[in-house]
Amino acid sequence: MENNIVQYKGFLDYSLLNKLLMDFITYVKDKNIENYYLKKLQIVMVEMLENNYQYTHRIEEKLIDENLEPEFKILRTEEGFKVIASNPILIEDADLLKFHLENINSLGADQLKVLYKETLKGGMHIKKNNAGTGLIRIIKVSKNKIKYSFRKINNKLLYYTLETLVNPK
Amino acid sequence: MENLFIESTEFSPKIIFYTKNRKFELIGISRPEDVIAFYDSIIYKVENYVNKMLSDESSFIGFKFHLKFDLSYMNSASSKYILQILDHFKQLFKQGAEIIVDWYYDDIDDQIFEDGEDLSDVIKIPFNLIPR
Repeated sequence: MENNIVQYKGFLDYSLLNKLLMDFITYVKDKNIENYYLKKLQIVMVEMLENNYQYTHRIEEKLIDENLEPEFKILRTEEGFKVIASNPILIEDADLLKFHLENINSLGADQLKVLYKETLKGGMHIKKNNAGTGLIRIIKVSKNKIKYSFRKINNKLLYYTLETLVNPK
Repeated sequence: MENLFIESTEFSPKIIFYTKNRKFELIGISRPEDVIAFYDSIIYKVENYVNKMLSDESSFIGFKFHLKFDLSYMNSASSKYILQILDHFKQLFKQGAEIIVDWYYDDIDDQIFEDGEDLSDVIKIPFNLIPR
């Protein structure tokens, strides 16, 4: 059985992102969840939302014309919380993203830690935000793989969905 | 050199940079909306300070600088800028200065503990990992 805890469809801004986070934390705190589990949930939720927000923000003008909106939800299941984020992406960005996701999903915990540190080191002096550190951190923290899918919208855009499970393990 | 003080907000940390006391502190939550804009001015100040020390001081024997990171939350975007701050202080470390990095965490399962280990490994400066 799955209960929908958080659901939002539309363009995010930072205050909305924070409101979703605070609403979820309030919900979870009422359920007497252990502190370390709450922190895991918070990290995964923030990284997923920020990933969604940063990317969509960059190509927002192209999306408004197409009437395409990002979506974010958290479902409570028997195994834990499923965090799901969807947003349109440019087709030209998909191959690199898929390669990165396949790579990080194939790594064990120690290899992932090494890659995370290499990515931090490599990105330290690059002006733009580190590509990929957020996704690596999601797997590092949740200790679960990221499920992903791409659905074609038109010749320029794909609808991209990320899903991960956060449980107390 | 001028000191720097930035009050914390709900999503950005308090920054204390006292050049005379050789003390830098970053306290609170670090996930500012515009992480580049937030950290750029801080990194600029740290870089200027380090460059001035490198040109003014003839020896760094006995030179101590104390850095304190007391974060309850840090997003992955912030870690890059914290590394840049540490990288500037590393220039003094390489010259023989003692760079003391105190990194606070709640408990061993805390991601902040692991973040401290990771950043210390990347920057190659030992951190004192201190439970709150």
